[in-house]
Amino acid sequence: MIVALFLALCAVMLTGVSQTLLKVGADSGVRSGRFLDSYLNLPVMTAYGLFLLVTVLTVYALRDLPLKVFYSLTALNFIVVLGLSAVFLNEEVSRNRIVAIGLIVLGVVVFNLP
Amino acid sequence: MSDKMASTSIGYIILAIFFQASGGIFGKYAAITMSDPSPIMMVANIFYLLSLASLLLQALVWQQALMHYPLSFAYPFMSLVNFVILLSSAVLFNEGVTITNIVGLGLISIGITVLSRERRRSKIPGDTHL
Repeated sequence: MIVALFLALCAVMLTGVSQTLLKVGADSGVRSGRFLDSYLNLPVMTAYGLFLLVTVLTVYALRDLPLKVFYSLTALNFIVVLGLSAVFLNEEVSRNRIVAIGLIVLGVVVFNLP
Repeated sequence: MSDKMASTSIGYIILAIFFQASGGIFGKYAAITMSDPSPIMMVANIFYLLSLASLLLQALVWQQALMHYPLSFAYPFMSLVNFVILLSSAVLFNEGVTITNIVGLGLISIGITVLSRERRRSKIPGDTHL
């Protein structure tokens, strides 16, 4: 169970990283002005590779973790992306976003209460 | 937007919810049907492939939904996936449903709605489709 939980959290973390990479890749496409550059660049291809890895980790995690628990944990992905976009993309972290993240975390905790 | 166009666009959102939930359910079936969880066994597992196909279809219809609706309107609907998964887990995998499950999902949905209202013009954090 502990290993499955660890794998699920890795999947959540990697999803956040790949979302951030997709944004970096999309921005580089916008800068170049060429449509295909939004897709055919290293950050975007790495992001899709990570997504594939996430599907594999998901199946391994689901061997021991109930489906409903796994899906509740995926909501934590919002925190990862908010943190990464604040650090690496200099995006604003407003009060409302912090409140929203607090609600999501509280929701995940309440969901998994025995 | 005409009534016909509006119902078609809502259809994309409903399909996106359906395919995302299907991806999770097929993933669970893949997990419980694999005796030896090696990468080779995984890519040969029909449920894993169905899970991937569902996620691909989800991405395609979600893009269509976003062409018709603002993200701040469309994204909160995706939190319904958690409720579909909760119900499916109970029916298909006997995982049960508790009051705390429902209250927890309610809080998560409110949080996602607040986030998506906050970022009307950009991709919202965690916009992902496992």
